[in-house]
Amino acid sequence: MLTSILIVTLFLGGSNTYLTSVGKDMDKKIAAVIEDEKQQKEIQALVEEAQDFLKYYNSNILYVLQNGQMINSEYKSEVEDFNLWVDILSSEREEYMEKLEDIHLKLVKSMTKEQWNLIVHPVE
Amino acid sequence: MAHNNRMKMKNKKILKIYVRLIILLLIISSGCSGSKTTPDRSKGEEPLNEQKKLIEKNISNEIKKAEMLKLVDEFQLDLESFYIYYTKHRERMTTLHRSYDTTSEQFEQARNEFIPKYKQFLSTVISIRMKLRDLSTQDEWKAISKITKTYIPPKDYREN
Repeated sequence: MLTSILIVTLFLGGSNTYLTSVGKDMDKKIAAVIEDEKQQKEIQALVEEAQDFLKYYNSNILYVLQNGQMINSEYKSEVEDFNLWVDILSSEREEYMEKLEDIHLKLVKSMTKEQWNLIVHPVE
Repeated sequence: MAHNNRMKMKNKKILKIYVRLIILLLIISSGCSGSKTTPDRSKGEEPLNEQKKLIEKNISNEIKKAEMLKLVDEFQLDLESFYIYYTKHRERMTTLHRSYDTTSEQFEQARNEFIPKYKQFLSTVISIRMKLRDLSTQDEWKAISKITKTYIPPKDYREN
């Protein structure tokens, strides 16, 4: 059953922001749209912060899931043994959402709406 | 402190399997491939099908076996229901994150709606796990808890 738990929780744990969906081309877009060097560095730093955080988050989730695997494999494990695991998994997810919100709001502050639309809403 | 505690929980024996699992699932869920932004439903169903096969193979009591298979089917419905909710949540979050005008209050509202549902879903998963456990012996549990497939095609994993 834990295989399912892991699959489900992980496949529900992914990122869904422009920071990852267009992350690969973000640097190029920022460089193309933002002329001011100071502003460009500020924005790039925020994008890097988000990407570093995602790596940290994914690493943490790995340990949480390993712990879930161990609890599950124990025949005698009871609901109480899973409570902390659920709390950690949920709080990791909450922290993930908060952090990306925070970076989003900082990015918005760091550029004009026109710049934003050019970077985040590329013509597809 | 909490992070350090989690670090201690590391089990090297299963690390390799889960590193592979993580990599595949991150590719599936994080949009690393570029345009893919929705979760792949089949990836959630595959381990459930494997679970059913393990139950069919390892549970000798026919009545208990039928009950356990029914539980997994029920869970599949829960998963389907949460999948629909989660897809909508992702679409909402994508819209919020793409908009220049999204306020912190809008983010907070979305978060406050999602986290309790996520937690509730995890509780459902554990509740079904407990029912399955109660229907099996210790040896049977060991057998049906075995992971027979890593869900990772070898070509998708590069260990440097």
